[in-house]
Amino acid sequence: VWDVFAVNAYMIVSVVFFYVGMIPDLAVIRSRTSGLRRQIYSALSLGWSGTPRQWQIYHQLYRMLAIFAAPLVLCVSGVVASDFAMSVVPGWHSTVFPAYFVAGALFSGLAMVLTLVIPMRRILNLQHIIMPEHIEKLTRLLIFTSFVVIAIYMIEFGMAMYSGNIFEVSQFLFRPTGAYRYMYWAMLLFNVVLPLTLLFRRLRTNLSFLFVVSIFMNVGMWLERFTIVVMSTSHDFDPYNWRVYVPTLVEVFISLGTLGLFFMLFLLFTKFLPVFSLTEIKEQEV
Amino acid sequence: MSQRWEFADATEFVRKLREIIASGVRPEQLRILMPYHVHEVDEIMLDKRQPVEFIGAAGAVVGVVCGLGLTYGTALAWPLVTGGKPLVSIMQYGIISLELALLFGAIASFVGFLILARLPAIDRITAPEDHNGRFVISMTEMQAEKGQT
Repeated sequence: VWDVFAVNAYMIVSVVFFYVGMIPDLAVIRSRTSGLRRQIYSALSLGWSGTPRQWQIYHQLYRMLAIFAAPLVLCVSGVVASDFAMSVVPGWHSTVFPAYFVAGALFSGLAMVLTLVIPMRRILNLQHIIMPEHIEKLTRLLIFTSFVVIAIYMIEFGMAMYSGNIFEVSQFLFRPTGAYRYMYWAMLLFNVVLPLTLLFRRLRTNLSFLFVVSIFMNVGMWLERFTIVVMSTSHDFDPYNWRVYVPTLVEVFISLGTLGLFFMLFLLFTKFLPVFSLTEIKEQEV
Repeated sequence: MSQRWEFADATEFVRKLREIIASGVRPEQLRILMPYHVHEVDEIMLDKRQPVEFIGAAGAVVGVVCGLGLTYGTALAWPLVTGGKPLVSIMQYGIISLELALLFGAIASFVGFLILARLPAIDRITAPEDHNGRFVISMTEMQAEKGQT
């Protein structure tokens, strides 16, 4: 029940936040188009004129949405993590899980932003808006969140070993030495070792390197989910349940399909909607 | 008689607006369009904040009540004791209340915005009021009578 409310609330608030942020920009696009496109943008901008009263209310609304959305980010990751932590499955039953999921979400989110922004700024000629210093600041934040993730990996492993619980110990030994050991070590390489390379300013400011590293971090975070979900359930407290999971072709294509769907939606977004806030940039310039 | 001024520059626009108001024209006699927000205009044109925060907070309170009502109500309507634990638990139900408080608060703020900003404006959807990236000040007799800003 927690998840139904958490995930749906997060989705609805995100969509509202996303849409509200675009309303004045949709009005700008409306003024630069004609025919059917103009009518569509006109309807999407809700007839926005940009009167002082509308701007005042808009800014009040934006602040309120930020107030509601920020705790929701922590809430939804924390709630999903608690769903795992409430179970008795070794590898899931841990009090560090909410912090683990929040830090992981921030880390993977920042890595995904880098993966999308670095090619986008070049293809759409946005170098004068998304500058190297913006990307470097994003990278510093990424390094910080990677340290949190690394600390939690150590805490998780330490807690399992220190607990003396044979199921926990068995699970955490299974990860680096069992059937999925290559995936586990790849996860550590992508999420622990690669972020450390960004401590060097020369590498951090090299956008091509950053782009490649960010893709590996996304893969690393996918492997982390695989570690949590598949490795934990394939080696739980009952040896009768132990299995090595191999995905079917259908599962592989469903996974690839979700990637395709995501990138298709992202490309449609960059094609038809404003990829950055025109009005905010104008406001800041002034 | 109507008058209209257009400015590409925000500083010039604010200076002219102050001039017009200083000459005795009331803010409600003017219609102003801005391509982006200029905070000085709020001080000149608007004498009070709109109750968006209040509407959002009211929505959040409704969310808390609905969250508690739903969880307590369903638990008491089907009283199933599990493992000797109490039927209702504030620890578990508080999470759903928090989630609904955030959801209802955000939705109420958005609805409040639509009502207060008079959106969607059907007449402006069919005949959009474009400023083409310029600041516009217009003053007509009709606006003065209707008291629009």
